[in-house]
Amino acid sequence: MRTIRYTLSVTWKEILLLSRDRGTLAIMLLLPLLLGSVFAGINLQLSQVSEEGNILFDVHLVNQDAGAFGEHLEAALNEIDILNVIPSDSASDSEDQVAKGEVAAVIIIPDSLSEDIDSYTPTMIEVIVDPAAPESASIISGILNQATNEITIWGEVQYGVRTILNESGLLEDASPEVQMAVTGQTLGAIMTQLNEMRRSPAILVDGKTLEGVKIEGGIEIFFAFLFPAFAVMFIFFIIGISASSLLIERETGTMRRMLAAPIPRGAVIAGKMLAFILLACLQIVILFAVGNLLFGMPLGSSPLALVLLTLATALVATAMGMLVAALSKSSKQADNIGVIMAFVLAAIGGAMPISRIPFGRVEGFIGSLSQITPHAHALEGYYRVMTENAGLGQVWFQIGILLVMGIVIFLVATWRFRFE
Amino acid sequence: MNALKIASKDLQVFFKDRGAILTLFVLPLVFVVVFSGALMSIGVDEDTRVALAVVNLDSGEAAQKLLDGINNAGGVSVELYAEDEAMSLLEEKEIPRVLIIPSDFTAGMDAHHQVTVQLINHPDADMEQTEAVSLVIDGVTQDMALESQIVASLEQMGEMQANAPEEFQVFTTERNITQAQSQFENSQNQSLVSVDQKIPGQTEKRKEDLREHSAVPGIAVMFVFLTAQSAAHMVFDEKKVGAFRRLLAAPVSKADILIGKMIPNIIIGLIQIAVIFAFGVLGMKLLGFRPMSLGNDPLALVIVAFLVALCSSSLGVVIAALARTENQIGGLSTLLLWVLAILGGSIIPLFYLESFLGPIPKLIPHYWANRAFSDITVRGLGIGDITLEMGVILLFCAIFFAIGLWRFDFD
Repeated sequence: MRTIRYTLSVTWKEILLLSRDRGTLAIMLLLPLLLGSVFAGINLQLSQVSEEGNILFDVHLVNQDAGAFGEHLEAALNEIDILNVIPSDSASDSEDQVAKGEVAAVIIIPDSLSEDIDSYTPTMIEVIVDPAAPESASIISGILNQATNEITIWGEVQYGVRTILNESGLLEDASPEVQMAVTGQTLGAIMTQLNEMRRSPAILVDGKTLEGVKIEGGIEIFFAFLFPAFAVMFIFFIIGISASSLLIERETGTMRRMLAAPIPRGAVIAGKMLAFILLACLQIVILFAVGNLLFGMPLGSSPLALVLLTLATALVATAMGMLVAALSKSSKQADNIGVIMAFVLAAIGGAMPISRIPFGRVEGFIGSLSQITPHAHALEGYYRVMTENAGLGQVWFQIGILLVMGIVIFLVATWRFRFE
Repeated sequence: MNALKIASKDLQVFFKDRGAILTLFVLPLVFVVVFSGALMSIGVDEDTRVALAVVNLDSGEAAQKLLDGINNAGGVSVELYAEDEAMSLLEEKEIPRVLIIPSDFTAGMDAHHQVTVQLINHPDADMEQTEAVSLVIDGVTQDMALESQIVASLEQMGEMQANAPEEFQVFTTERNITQAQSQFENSQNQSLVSVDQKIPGQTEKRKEDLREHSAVPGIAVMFVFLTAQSAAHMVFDEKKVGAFRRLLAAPVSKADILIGKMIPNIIIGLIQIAVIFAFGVLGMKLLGFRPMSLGNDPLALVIVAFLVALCSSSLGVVIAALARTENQIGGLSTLLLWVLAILGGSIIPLFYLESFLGPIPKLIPHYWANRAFSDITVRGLGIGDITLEMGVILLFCAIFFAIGLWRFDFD
C-alpha cells in the first residue's frame, strides 16, 4: 500500500515537471499531430484529384497536329480542372522551362498524330516531366493516359468500320469523296451509340460484404495505418526523454535524496515509468481523436483492445528508456541514443509511413526484419482492431508479445541500473 | 583570426560529443534509405500475387476470358472453388473474399445485356487487399465491357441497315466480332496511341524511377538546418558557464565572437552535406541501387552547400539569442525546425504545400535551399540558373545574423 502511494507521488512529481516542460510536450504532442494531419491531408487531396477544382499544375501543351485527334485531345486536356494548360509553339523552349522546374510538364502532340491514327499506325504522345517532382509527374502522366485512351478508342473504331466497309466491297466503285463521307457518317453514328452505351457498364462489379453491405474501401483505411504509425513513432521518443530524466535525477543528486527518504527504489523507477506511460496514452488519445473526428479514421469496435495495445506499447517504450538510462554514462548521451533508437526502430518497424499497410504485411526482407521491433506488432494490432473489427481475441498475440518485450527489457534495465 | 581560434576550440568540443555526431550524421542516412524507397524494395520476391477464390457458375467463353484476364493482369491469381465450399470457407474467414461469376454471364455478354459479377468479402478482410483485387477485376471487366460494347454498336449499325437489300448489309455479326477481336488482340500488344514519359534531355527510351533520388536534397537540407539547434545549444552552454563574459573581457569584438561560434557549425553542416550526398552516390551503389547524380556543376554544388550551412548556423545564433531557457532550445526549437522543414518542402511535395499554403513556403529558407539543391543535382542545372535561390539564401543569412547580433545577450 505504501509502495503504491510512494509510486504515485513520484508519478505526480514527474507529471508536474513534464507539464512545465512545454518544449518536450510540443514535440511529443504537436509534432505527430502536425505530421499526421499534413500527410493525411495530402492523401485525401490526391485521392480526390479528379474531382477537385483547384489548379495544381501548370502544363505546357505543344500541339503540332493539325488534325481532328490533336484538337480532340487538346480539348479534353483543357477540361481537366487541376491542369492549367498553356499552349506553346516551341517544344524545346517548353522543355527548357520544365528542366528549370518552372512548369510541371510539357505534353507534345506529334504532327503526325491524326495521320497515324487514320492510317492505323501506332503513334506516341510525349510528356516531359520534371525529375525533381516525381509525385506531380505521376499524376500528370496518369491524366494524360486517360485522355489518350479516349482517342485510342475512337481510332480503333474508325479503323474497324473502315475495314468492314472495305471488306464488304460495297464502296469499291464509289469515288474517294463518297467513301470518306460514308465512312465518316457511319463512324459518327457508331461513336454516338458507343458513348451512349458506355454510360452504363456492360459488366458491373458488385463489391459487398457477407451481410450484403456495400464495400467502400476508402482512404480512411489508410488513415487507420497513418495515424497509429505517427503515434507509435512518437511514443518511442519517450526512450530518450525518460532515460535522460532518470539520469538527470542521478546527476543533480535528487536521486540520492529520494533514496535517503523511505521511498523504495522500485517505486522511484515505477513512478517515473507510470508518468511516461500516461504521456504515451495522451499522445494516442490526441492523435486518434483528430484522426477520427477530422479525417474519418475508423476506431474499430473494441476500445478495450485499443487501450491494452496502447498500455503495452507505452510499457515497452518506457522500459526501453530505463534500459538506455542503465547503459548510458550521462543524461546527454542517453538523450542522443534515445532519439536515434526512436528513429531507427520507427524506420524498420514501419512507423514512418512509407508503406500503406503495416510492415508485417509487406513482402520481402523488411517485412521479416520489422518483426524484431515493438512498432510492427503495435501497428499490426491497431490495424486489426481499427480496420478489421478485431477484438481482444484477435490481437492477444500482439499485446502478449509487447508485454513480454516490455517485461524482459524492464528486468534487464533494473538489473543493470546503478542508483548512485 | 580571433574568430578562427574560437572556432577551432568549438570544433574540438563538438567532436568529443559522440552522441551528437551520431544524430547529425547517421540519422540522415536512415532517412535517405527510408524515403528513397530503397527500404521497401530489399529482397521483394517477384511473385507476390494475392490468391482470389472464384466460383464460376458459367461454363461459357466469356467467363473463361474474364478468368484468364484476371490471371494475366498480374497481382491476382485465380483459384476455383465450388459455390458451397467457397461460401462456408468465407464464413469461417478461411478465405477473405470470393468472386462469383453468374451462370448467365456469357449469354448476357453475347446478348449485350448488363451482367453483374459479385465480389463478396468477409467483413474483416484486409481492406487494402480488397481494393487491390477490385482494381484488377475492374480493369479486366472494363476492357471486356468496352470490347462487347463496340461490337454491340457495330451490330446496331447492322440492324439499322436491316431493311436494306442483302448486298448492302455490311455490319454482320460475324464480321463485327472477328474485326473487334483481332483489333483487341493487337491493342493488347501495342496501343494505337501511347504515352511516353521522359525527363528533359532524355534521349533513350527508358522510364526512369523518379522517386529514387529526388528525396536526397530535401533530407540534406532538413538535417543541416536541424544542426541549428545544436549550434544554439553550444552557444547557450557557453553562456551558462560564463565563457562569454571571459571572451568579452578579452580584446575580441562581439561580431568576432558570433562568427567564431558560427564557423564550427558551418564546417559541421558542410561535412553533413558531404556525408549525405556521398551516401546518395556510393552508399546507394553498395546497396545495389542506382547512385544519385550530383549534376554537372560541382562548383555550384559547393557554393550552395556553403550557403545552406551558413544559413543554418546563423539561424542557430538567432535561436540562441531568442531562447530564454535551455529547455526551449531543446524542445521548441526542435519543433520549429521540423515544422520549417515540412513547410519548406523537405519531405512533402511542393505542389501540394503551395496548393493550400500559397506563397508561405517561399518565406522559409528551406524552400530556397531545396530548390537550389534540386536544380543542381536532380535537374542538372548550372550556377547561372540558381542566382535567385542563392541570393535569397544569402539574404536570410544576413537577416538572421543581424537579429543575432542585435538580440544576443552576451552577459
